[in-house]
Amino acid sequence: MDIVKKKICMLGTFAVGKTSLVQRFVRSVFSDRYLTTVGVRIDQKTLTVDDRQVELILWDIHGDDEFQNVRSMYLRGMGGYFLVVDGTRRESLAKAEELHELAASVAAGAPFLLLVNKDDLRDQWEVTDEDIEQLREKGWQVLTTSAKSDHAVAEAFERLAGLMLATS
Amino acid sequence: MLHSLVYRVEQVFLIHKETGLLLLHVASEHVRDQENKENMVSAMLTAIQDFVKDSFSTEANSELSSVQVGDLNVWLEQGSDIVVAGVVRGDLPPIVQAQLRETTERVQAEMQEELESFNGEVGPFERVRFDLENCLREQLNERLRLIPLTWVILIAPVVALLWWAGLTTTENWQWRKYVRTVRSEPGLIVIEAGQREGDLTIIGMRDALAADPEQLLKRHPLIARQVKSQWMPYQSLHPDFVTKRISERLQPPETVSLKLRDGRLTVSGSAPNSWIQDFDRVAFGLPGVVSIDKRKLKNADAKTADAWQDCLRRLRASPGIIVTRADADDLSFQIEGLRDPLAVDPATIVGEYPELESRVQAQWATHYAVVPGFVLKRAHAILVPPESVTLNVDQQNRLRIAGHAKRDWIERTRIVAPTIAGVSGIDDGDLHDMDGHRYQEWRRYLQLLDEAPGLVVVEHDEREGVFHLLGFQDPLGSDPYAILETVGLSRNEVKTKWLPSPDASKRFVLSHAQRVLAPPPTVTLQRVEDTLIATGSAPHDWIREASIIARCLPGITVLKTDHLVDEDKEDLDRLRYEVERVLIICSAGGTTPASGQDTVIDRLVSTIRALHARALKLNTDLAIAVVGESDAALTGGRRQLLASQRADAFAGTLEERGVPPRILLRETSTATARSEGFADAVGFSRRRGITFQVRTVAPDAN
Repeated sequence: MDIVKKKICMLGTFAVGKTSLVQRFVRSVFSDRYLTTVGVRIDQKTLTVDDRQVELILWDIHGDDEFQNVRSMYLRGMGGYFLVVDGTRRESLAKAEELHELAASVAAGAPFLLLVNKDDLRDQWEVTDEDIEQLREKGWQVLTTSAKSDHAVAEAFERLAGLMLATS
Repeated sequence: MLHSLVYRVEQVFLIHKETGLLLLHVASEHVRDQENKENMVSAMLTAIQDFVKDSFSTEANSELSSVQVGDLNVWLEQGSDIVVAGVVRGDLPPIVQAQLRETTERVQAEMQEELESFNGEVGPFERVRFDLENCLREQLNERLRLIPLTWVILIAPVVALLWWAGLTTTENWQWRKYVRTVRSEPGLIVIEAGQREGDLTIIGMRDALAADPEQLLKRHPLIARQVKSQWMPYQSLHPDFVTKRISERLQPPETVSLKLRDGRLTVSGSAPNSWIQDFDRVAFGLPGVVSIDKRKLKNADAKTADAWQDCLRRLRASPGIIVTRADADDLSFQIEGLRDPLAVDPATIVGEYPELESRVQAQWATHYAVVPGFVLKRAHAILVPPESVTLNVDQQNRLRIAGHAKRDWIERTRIVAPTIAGVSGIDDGDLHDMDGHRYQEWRRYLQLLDEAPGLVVVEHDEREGVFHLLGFQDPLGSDPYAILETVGLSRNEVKTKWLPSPDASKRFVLSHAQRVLAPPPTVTLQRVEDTLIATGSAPHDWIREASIIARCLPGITVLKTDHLVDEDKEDLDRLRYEVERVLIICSAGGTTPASGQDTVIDRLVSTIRALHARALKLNTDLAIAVVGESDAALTGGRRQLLASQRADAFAGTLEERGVPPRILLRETSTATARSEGFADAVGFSRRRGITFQVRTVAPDAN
């Protein structure tokens, strides 16, 4: 079976749960220290999508704003990306939209999913259904996830892998 | 041993520069299992390069060239699309650096096309595995060269031995690697590998579809010439080989998918019948196939065969088509038969089956069907009868022609009809020449319509022997069909269409009202909008009935009779006046009328009786008061008595003369009963006679 490798970036402001989502999905090898030193942590996961073996190389990019310049370099060559939003912090949604502009300028047309994370804290959400509906009306694919309860995490990665195969 | 090395290139990473994805990775046997970390190392190396370049670089094209970790050096050679990273234990000599650089350039050039279109597929980069493996080099510690020359001679054999040992070690390493590679290849089974009579010998079995061991051996140049190979053919049951073998043997069409899992061969998609039959015959005999699942395999030809059978059934059922031969050869079909020119085109039926497109060869010979239905159809096609003519064909194929037609059509038909295929004879006893008197009748009908109220003929003509007429008809106007019956034309000969007249209804409301209400000549009717106004005079009964009926007339909501004189009421008033103006003079002191008044009395009786009759007619109760008057000379009780007696006496007279007693009242005059003027007018004393008063009696008074 031919192997296809794809680079995926996790984008989102600090503490929205990017690393938690990755850790829920893969067995991490590298230490979190890389995140705060180099600003990125690499993980890997192999999936089978439509009878094709896909090796996802996950670039978990530090969410702090001071790494903005570095981050744009890290986005080069990505096959797809996640915009991660903390459902309990509405400002993280605005940040995600900024990051989408950045990502689109580096990798135009790359497929992406917006993940509204922390579904387990739904009663504390500031992000409303109307917000999500507006994004969907823009053509964005939106999933609500919870790294804590493992809600829709694997589905998110599988869906993005499918989108990338479909567009490559 | 490590301390004996100058360097060892332990791993080489071929990295896609933009994505950081690992394209290929080779490692020496000294490297422990990486637990599949190479991909992440590749990405992390790329991230670190980016990080360093972004953080410290001052020149646009400067790149990170090496990373040192303990006694490990990572040497990074940059191509335009790739990075070749050599992980070196010890110091990397310039010659190996040069080799890494040269390898980078060669790989960049050789894989240029794949790199330009790279979308994540790394399979093609296996082509350069040999180039990367060539970089896996090591060198022994060169301290031995520093030994004084005098010792060289003494220890030369030792050095030679060590050199040979080193070379042997390298050869051994390449041999083991080769054997390991061969063992890992599917379809190659190593039975024996080792030294035999001074040669490196490998004996095994090889599936014809497996990789070529000789080609694998070329990657290990140090041992290539020393290896003796002996490969015996066998068939591997590796799923890839079994599937490939089935594919080569059966050559499935592109629409078929084959999958083998745990010996179960699943075949899906659609395939021609011939392929499916071949598959059924062969698949079970193929090694590695334990069971077959073809539930998802569709016979692409089944639809074609079904279509052919259905098409054939329809052709056979089509009137005028006789199928004499129908053959099917694989998916080619031949059909022959006879076809009446009036039958449905067989090509049309075949054309309704896309599955049969360009698969059917047909030959149809012309014939003329003689069944009555076809004979009739043919007669219609040839004779083209007008609408006024009907054709029929009986069981003996005799053509019956009935109706009306123009003379030239009739004459032509009498010549042509007997020659129509299948017609045994003709019967035109009921076929009539429509020229001649019929046109006179038609013109007469048009004239009658023109004269009839409420009918307006808009257009008329004659087509194929039938008269057509379009006109407006007022619902209150004349009946055109009734008029038609008065001329000698039937409804079959005259096709009419009568539309409601847009204004006729207004025009005919009044005449209709007059016809229905039948007013006496003294009445004039007028219509203002939806009101019917009657003026003049009329009997009471007519007014009453007309008022009721008028409300039911179309276009009329009410009959207004304000200016219409009720003749019966007027008559009643006149009679009343005549009764009340009568004065019967009595003899002085007597109760009987004075002589010479018979005529007056007769006329009075007649008038009262007429008055009574009118009252009954008008449903009015009347009473006639007979008022007795006394003599002026009398006073007191006598005067009252005489007045009473006179009233009583004359009322009796009226009763005797036929006046109903119940309408007669007997009264005596009071002092103011009559006016002085009246007394003056008649010239008699107002207290010597009998007068009359007509009173309307209230219903509850009776």
